[in-house]
Amino acid sequence: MSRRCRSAINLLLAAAIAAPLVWMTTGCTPTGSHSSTHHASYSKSGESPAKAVDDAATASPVDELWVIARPDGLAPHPAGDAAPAAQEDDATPGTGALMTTMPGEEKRIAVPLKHTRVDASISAYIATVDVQQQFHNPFDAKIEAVYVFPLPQNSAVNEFVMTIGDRKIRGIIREREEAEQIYNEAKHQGYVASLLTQQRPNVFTQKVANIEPGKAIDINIRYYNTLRYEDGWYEFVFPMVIGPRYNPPGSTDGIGAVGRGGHGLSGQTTEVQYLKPTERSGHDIALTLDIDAGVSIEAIESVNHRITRRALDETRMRVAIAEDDTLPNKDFVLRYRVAGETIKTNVLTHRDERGGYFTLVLYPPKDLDRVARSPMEMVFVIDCSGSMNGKPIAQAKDAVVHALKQLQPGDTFQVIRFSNDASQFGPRPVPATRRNVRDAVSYVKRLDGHGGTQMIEGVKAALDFPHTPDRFRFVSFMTDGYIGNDRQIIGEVRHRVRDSRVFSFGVGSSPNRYLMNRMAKAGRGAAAYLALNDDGGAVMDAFFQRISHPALTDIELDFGDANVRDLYPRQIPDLFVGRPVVLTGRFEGELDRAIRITGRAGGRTINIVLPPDQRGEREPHPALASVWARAKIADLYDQLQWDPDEALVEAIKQTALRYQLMSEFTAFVAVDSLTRTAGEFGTTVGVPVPVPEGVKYETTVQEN
Amino acid sequence: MKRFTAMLLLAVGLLLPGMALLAAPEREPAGEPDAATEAEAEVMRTPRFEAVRVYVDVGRTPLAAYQFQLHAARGEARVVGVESGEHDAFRQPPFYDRRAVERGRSDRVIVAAYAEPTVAAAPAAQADADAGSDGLPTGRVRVATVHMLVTGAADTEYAIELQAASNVEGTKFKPTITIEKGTADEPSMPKRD
Repeated sequence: MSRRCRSAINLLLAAAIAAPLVWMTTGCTPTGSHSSTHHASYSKSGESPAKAVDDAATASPVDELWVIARPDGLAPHPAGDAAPAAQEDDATPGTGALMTTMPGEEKRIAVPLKHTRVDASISAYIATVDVQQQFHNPFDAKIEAVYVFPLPQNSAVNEFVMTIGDRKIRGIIREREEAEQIYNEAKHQGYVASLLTQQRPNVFTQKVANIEPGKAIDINIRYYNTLRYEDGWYEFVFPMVIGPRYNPPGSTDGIGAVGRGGHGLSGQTTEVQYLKPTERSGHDIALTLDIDAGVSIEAIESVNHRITRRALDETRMRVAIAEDDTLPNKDFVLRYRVAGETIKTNVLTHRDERGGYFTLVLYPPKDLDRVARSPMEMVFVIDCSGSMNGKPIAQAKDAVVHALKQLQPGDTFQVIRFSNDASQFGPRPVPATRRNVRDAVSYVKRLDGHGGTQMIEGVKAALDFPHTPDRFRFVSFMTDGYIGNDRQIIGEVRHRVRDSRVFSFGVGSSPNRYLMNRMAKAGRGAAAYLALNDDGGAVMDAFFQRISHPALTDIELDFGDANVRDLYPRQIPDLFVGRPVVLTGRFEGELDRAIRITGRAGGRTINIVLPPDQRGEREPHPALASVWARAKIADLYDQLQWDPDEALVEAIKQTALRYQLMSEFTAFVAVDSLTRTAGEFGTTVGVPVPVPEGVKYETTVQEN
Repeated sequence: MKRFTAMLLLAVGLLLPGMALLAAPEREPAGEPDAATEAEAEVMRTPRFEAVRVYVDVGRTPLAAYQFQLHAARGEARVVGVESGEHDAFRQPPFYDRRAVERGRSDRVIVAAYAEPTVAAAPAAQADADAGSDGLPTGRVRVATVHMLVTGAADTEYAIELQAASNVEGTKFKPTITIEKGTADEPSMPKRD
């Protein structure tokens, strides 16, 4: 951060104190953060189950010819190179479209979203991500573009900028209803305007009104989120497509999956339009990621994409999606391993006029490795719905078969399948004898994917039968999570879990990570992901290694004299080997005392003391405040599932407004009051997206 | 007593009609509605959008950072966007803190930004702003435009207060701050690039 920048910031902060003001982000990019590193506790490095993919792909240019097509006479086209676009879609406005087609290629569809650019950076375990969506109008009349897209389920979205030419307008966070009213008023009066709303923690809708023919409008969104860490590997995820969701009959607040132009078919308030397998839109994505790990980066791999990478030094690396792999039909998942067998528990702090914020990453102690494994009761729940048909269910079956063969004498198990209904291998859990395991493997191999996703039936079947007290019950859900009633499912898991532990395995190229993580959280377990390229057996091996050693349970933290409050998650999760727990909270004064951790493992009490460690000059890390506020909002949402109290809604709103964050009750709106277009506000054009790689269009998308 | 009662009755007789006159709305001659009042009422009810351009005249001192507070002194105004300034150093949109006041219908917004100095010459399109040292603006420069949704008064008036301004060394000084209202041109026909 430059000295001038710091001087200017100091002045603003001083003025802010003089004039009562809630702290604003100054926008300076911090070069570091204040970090207290405590003595080594535990780490175990291991191989990631994901296959290493590391190619430096060479981009090959694609020649394109743009042809304007009009219905009253087709414009002549150069012979053999291009064909005029056919106008067949009611959702396509105006009398023509800018399109390209090349002989022998898939049909190109004109869409308002031209390009998405993602610039991300990682410092410690916090990612700062800038997403730029480039909207344009390829039609002859003005349009409103509507785009439903995903972001990470723990993203704290707090910046929104609309760019028109060389003019940049920062959007304003408001209560959602008010933002929608402002947007609709601007739209109907002909003003260029944009609105960003949230339907789920991982599903957002972007609307841009009054885009004139041939004009372009960019929307920039910034969010922060914390990375997953597991068995020595950090994982950065940028989701790209929402999988087609199944919505229970009678529901209307789900997320509908319809074919292109099929607006209204699903009966849901939010709909995603999907391209057929033979169609493509030309929307592509560019992604670059700068990693500053702070320690040597030992290995790096991309799960779903080909990447290029450049090491800036031992601790920093720049990664980018290869130019020939930019179709946005699968999540970008990057995993990297850092050096050191001993990973240290880490505290990051930040202070501003609103007070102090901290994030504590708690690693399990190495001693847990030596505690003996107890008999287990394993329940495997397999999603056999239509969206799982094909590669996803094949992956899930392989993983379960592998897990069955890992069971030991003394264990018991059950296998449950669900789609329109639920059924199970046996009337009750059976001992893991060789014969029972063999029969169960045959049962699993006969399963296939078809029908709806009545996941509630699977939840009931898995959690409602009596629990054997001398065994630790682990319930593993293998699913892509493509449902519209995810909040109901999470509530049911919380209601029924009792002494069980729920592990959710997200299967496929774009699973519903919000559902996976929330189920695991409600079930005091963990989420894992099984991408189409992953080795299911290796994922299961890692899972068994984790659950074979008892977790540190009933964890309590003592911060001594430090005034700590508002710690999230409020119920501290169990601490499993290889998987840390991330906590965020607020503090007043100083956070420089020893932290005492107490928990239970293997029937005995474990005590851990983490002494303070002051280091270096304090640098602001403004993301911590947003990360904390996001965690608070998530906690309030969880409460809202089983306690629909208006006071909780109001608390979410006020927190989101104070920290300028997106939520389901707040939204960003931006209006250019100096640009007013003539005529009616134009046609609304939904941006269709490809179905996630591996998912079958025919069994998941509604058409006319 | 009779005289007093008569005076009392007279006074009441005079006062009541007078109060009635004061209380009663003005009446137009029968058969002619108040077109001006109705039109004005319609304007006041209809939400409309306008922009407030904010200028700072720093003289010869290059401007590195500023903060101002803006609210509607007449009418009700809600912020719907905060736009960047005209100088390259203030190309990024400023940051804001919005507080709703007075029944939540009107905003009091605080806007702040710091310059991102450039070594390139100032763009030729700049109006009154000259390129100062380190690529920071001097003279009169538009630092921001605040986009508003207004209701209430037919002609909204704004009040602005410059809370802080500093040069590149972080030293405070007191430039002059002014505002100009703007609206979109008459709706234009769709243009092609």
